[in-house]
Amino acid sequence: MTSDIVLSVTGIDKHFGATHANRCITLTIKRGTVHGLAGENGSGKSTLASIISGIQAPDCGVMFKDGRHYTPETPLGANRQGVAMVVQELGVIGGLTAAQNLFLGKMKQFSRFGVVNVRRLLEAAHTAFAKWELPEVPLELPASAFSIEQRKMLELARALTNDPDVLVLDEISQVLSHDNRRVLYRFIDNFKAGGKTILMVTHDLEEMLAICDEISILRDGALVSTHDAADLDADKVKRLMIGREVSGHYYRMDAKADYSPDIVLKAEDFHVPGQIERVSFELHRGEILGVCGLSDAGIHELGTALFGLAEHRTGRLTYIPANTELKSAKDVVKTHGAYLSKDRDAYGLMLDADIHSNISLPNADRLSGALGFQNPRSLRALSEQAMKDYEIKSSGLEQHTRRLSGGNKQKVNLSRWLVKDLEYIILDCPTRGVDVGVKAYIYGILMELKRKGVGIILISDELPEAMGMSDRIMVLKDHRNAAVLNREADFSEERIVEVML
Amino acid sequence: MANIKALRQNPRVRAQFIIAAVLLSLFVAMHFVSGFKLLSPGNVKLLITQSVFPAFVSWGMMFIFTSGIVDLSVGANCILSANVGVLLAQYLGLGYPGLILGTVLAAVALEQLTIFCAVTLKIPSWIAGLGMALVMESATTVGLSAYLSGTNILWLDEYRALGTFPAMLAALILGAAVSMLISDRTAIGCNIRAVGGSPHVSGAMGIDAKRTVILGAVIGAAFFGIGSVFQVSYASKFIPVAGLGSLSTIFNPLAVVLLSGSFARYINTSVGVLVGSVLVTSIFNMLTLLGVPSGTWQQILLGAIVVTCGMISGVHTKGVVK
Repeated sequence: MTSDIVLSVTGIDKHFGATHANRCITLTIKRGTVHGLAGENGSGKSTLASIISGIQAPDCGVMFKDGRHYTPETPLGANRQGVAMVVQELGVIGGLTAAQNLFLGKMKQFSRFGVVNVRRLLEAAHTAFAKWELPEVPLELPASAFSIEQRKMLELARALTNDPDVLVLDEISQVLSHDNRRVLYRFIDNFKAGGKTILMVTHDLEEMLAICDEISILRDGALVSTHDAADLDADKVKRLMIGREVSGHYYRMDAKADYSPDIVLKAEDFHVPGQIERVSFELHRGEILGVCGLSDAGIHELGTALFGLAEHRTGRLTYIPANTELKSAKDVVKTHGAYLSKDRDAYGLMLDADIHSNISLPNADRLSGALGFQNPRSLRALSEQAMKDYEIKSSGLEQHTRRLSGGNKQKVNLSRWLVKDLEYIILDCPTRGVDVGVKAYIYGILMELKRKGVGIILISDELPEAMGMSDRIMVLKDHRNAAVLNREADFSEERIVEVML
Repeated sequence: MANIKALRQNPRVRAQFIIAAVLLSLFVAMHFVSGFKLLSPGNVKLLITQSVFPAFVSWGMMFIFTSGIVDLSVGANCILSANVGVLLAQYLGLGYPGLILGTVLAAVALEQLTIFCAVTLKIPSWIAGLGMALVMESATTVGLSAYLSGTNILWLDEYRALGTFPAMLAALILGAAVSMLISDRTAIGCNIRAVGGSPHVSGAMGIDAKRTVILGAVIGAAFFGIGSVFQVSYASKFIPVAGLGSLSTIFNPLAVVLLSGSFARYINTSVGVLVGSVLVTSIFNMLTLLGVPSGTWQQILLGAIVVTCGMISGVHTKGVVK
């Protein structure tokens, strides 16, 4: 008879230097369920998930899978015992094709005398996507050509090629847009229907409550409790995560758009071949202009292009107060503008540098003397102030950024721009991969910036976020501006999705 | 018919046609500039013959560089291993087996020493390569001087059939085919690119990075060895050099690797190496035909070609190339 319990962990403990990431965690996961792990950034969810997946070894504790002792020493060892994981940070190799990435380390099944049968490899890759109805990526193209969503889907398909009966998903939906999230949810239903189990880490509490059967809550590395999802609501989860009562409202409460008539940025016939089709808009002082669209609508490309990083851009982007045309990232920074990329780890932060270097980088020019010499004392003072003002939890300015939790990484990413006197900022999914506490904190910062008259372009994959924070929402469809919706008249999920589709 | 139309509309195929047309025009222009001598039958044979060594060294470098190792001892390796092969074939009477196996095995063993310094002793590969180049250059000079009492040049008088035209042409074609097969159609070729692309991800996929780098170096060094066999068979000697002079031996292959890498989106890299070798050889051949002095202006042009190839290879790279 098959036991109800597919996986159990007992007394799992893990330190990273002085940080106690997991404190004697004991929990059981039932077969054929979706089990959620909830907690603030730095609560130890990803560490526990990576221990279960063989990426990290615990300092002590034991695990059992299907009643047998489970000791995965490597991710490959976990795969062999039926556990696979899609990690939070992107893990595909740009120089290899999608098909090669999919079966990396497992090429032997397609090889004869060391020579790979490419036709069979492509067939198997096609089958891997088709079996779980995942959107297929171009199998013969190198992964470097893919969008962040395509790479995430490729990682999911790769995990599934191991035919796992326990799949660990660490914040996978955070990088997916509206339509691909639906694909993911359909996949989860199918996977579960086959008697298989998912361990899911997500900061989107509504998503977690909708998908999971059971939810375990972690705080400061320790397990607080495990509940049936049906017995929980978002406020209760937040309270358990944070350890105190928190407000149920993240978003602004006013129902009316409220911004100055003065224009800060004006885009006219903004065009990037294959990415943006002649988009025009105006951003006002104190306005939050949301940008939404389906996965391939071009919303993230718009952010990159506005910051001057896209090639072959045409049309005009003007900083109106000085009537300056913005052609490059340098022009944006000079006119007190800033940009936060969706892919924080790849394009936002220097992960192997310390917090001080990351914060001081965009401010180094400003704090340099007439001859270009920098004053280390003022740079350090700036970093210390940013750490304090933005409540970055770390062991100090010298801590490597890679070691920070997702929320604290994002605070570093944001703070280094916000310590400047900004006129406008382009934010691409600023709350991706951060917990409810940090999310509320970031929304608070946005409202503060809005009050100061800063123009904000908020590109978002989450409709509740866009609707909750924006004065107007520009909906892109097929790379074009399909509609601009107003807060007081048009903000409903049905209306926005109707325009998107 | 529909297939042909679809092929024409494929951007990669279109780019391949454009590149082929540009190359053809370039060769015709060089033929014209050289007074209609470049593409004369006799000279074409010479071009093919002289392209073999840079092509094989480039294929070898391709495997080693792709795995993330920047080895600058390749030139010294080729000189020393070729002399080992000549010594075994000519002076110790082992004939062709001695020449071929001796050169290839020596190249593999020497490359493994460099890789040992880089991977096991954790010395940055370019430093390990420079150090090993000095060691290999000195070992060649000292060893040959001691063996030959005074002179340090070993001559290959017999066993030179591999340096003749049909054999050299066959070598070029076979070399490209084998390189393509290993690079694109084998698990080890895929693993080499994976380790070079991301050691962390490939490690998580169960690929042993150290073993892959070592195997990549074995494959690369085998190409160096085979290239050296053809070179010494053709030129009858491989003169030892000192003071890192061996680095100049790899400038042509370096230009070829950079050039083929820059067109990797459109042309298979192994084929790109073949075409690039013939192109670079042809440029120098044309300069010689025009009477440009080989020690000065040709070297200046070689430097310019390496820099230009480097620039072309960075065209599609965003940010700073280090």
